[in-house]
Amino acid sequence: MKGHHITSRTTLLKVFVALVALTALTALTAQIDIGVFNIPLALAIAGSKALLVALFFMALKYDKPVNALFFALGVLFVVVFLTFTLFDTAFRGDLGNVGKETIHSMEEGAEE
Amino acid sequence: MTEDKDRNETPQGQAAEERGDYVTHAKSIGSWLFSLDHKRIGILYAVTVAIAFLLGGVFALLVRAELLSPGEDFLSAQSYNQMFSLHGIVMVFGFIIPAIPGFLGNFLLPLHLGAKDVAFPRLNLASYYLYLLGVALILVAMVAGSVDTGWTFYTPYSARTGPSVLFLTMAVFIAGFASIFTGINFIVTVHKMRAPGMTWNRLPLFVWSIYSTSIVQVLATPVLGITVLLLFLERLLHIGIFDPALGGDPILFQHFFWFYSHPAVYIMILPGFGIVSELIATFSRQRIYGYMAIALSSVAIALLGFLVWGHHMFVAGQSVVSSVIFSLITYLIGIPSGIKVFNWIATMYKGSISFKTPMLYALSFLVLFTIGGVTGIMVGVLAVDVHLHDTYYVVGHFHYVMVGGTTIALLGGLHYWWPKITGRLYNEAAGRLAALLVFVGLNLTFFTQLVMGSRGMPRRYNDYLPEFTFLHQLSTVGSWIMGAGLFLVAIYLLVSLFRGKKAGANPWGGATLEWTHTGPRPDPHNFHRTPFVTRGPYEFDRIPELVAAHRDETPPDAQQNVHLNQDRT
Repeated sequence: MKGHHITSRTTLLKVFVALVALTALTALTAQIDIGVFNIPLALAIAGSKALLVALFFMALKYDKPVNALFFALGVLFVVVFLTFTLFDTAFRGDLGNVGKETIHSMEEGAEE
Repeated sequence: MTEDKDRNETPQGQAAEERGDYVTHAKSIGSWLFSLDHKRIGILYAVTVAIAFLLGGVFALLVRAELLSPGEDFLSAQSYNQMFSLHGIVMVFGFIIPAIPGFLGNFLLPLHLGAKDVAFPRLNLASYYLYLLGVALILVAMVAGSVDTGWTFYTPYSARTGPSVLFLTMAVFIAGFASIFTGINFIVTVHKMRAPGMTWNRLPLFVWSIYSTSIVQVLATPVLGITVLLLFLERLLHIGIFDPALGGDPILFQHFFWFYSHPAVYIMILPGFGIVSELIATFSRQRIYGYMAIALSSVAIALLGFLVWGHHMFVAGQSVVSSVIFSLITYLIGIPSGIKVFNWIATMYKGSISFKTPMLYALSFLVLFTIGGVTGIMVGVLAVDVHLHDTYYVVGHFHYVMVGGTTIALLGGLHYWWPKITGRLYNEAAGRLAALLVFVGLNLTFFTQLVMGSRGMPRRYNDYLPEFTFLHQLSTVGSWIMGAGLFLVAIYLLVSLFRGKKAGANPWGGATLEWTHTGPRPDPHNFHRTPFVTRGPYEFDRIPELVAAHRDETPPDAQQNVHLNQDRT
């Protein structure tokens, strides 16, 4: 086995500081309402934090590219899962009678 | 690799020969239960999946017996629901998912690659025990509580039924980890442990199929874990995920579940494709037609299999947009499946075919899997599925794939590698009779279900209208014939184990490394020397030359064990 990459302490510290800063940023932006961008912003910050952890703490940056490929494949499958599920949930009720409001009205009907 | 070669020079090879083969070199129970040898772990899997298969089979026979006549016979509606749930859960998680990778995959993968073992032998043993723990917990949940959700644990059933469903899903969670570990182990083994000269296009097709299966196991199984965990969170902490009363979405459960379970169907069938490729090549004495097409179609099926899960939800309230997309991709799966079937048939064309028991199973597979596949495309059609959803048609379809495909392939593989695993031959006439019984019984059981389903018989009912009586009775009689065939298999294999004729090193004239480079039963370390591979896996014309070369490599006192059985047609 070839040498294992040892990340320098300063790099690790810098990443740590970046992670804390991003956490603070998440807490701050949560106070401000920016409408539809609330969730995308939170996800973008969380995604960059995860990327930092994977690149430096898990040393993906210094590994063989094939490991990055496997990592990317995993991410791709999460994207596939979310996208295809959104094809359902975002268009739910396009048949006209299976929307959320139908369940509501059914419940109301039952109460009456 | 070179290190291994050095360590295995002839004097040590001789020492290995004196130690005996992988069965005789150590005899204590501990040497089996805690063995790190992939072959012994394979046998442990074989015994456990056989027990699971027996249990699942008995549940199935009970379900069919209840359906012999209309009305409630000896199972109440509640116990009938439990019985088919147990049949499904034990068969899927205890038998069909681990059977081929756990048993034949473990036993054969390193032998096919020319390796001494899998990449992580300890992880291999750990995954067996995780699987065993999972199965044990499933059995405890069965005895302790009543689960009537079917094997899919759909919400709101699983959100409302008794608490033992949580116990059972935990068992499935644990068994899932066993599956992930096995997948990782096999992927690393294929990448890192191939013998010198064993290039990717010289891998036996069984290895390609196990490799594709492993990719699916690693990518899909974690989602099953997440699903089960979310179910736990909802039931215990009342966080709204699937329950509409808490603001959740019950169809979301089906998305989660099928994102795992549809690829899992390919975990079940892909290794079967690998076995059938080996059988058809060996018993036609032909190189595989379209080797790369078969190999890559396995990978294509593995990847496309991730994009079709919504076809289980056409009538569940899923949006029409997504139903159309899923239906379209479902049709695409027919392409790589068709490539395989046509290539197998082309391999047999002008081949020197011998109808030994394993080949009979391979031929059954071609017929039965094709029926399973085509009926699958039919339920993938949106308008047709509205009528067929939740009828016996669907039950017939997936049993054609799971029994007619995977189980038949497993039986074929079991008969083919039986001499290598046990060093003994079984009774060929009994083998052929059993194959016939299984084929006839299976068709009688499940073809009648296709007919019933298309006439509107719903699945999961313990009662039915009188006009279905005849078809239900045919189906039940079919299950008895199939049961008799499988019982016969168990008997003659057990007889063979103790009294069978001793097998030669290569009774079928196979050309993969386990036939040409090991004795009747492999050495504990598989090969005396790391093989140097200079050919593809199906060059049958070169077997005598290869065996002769191997004989020269083998220590002189082992030579008597290495011979080709001349009577191989």
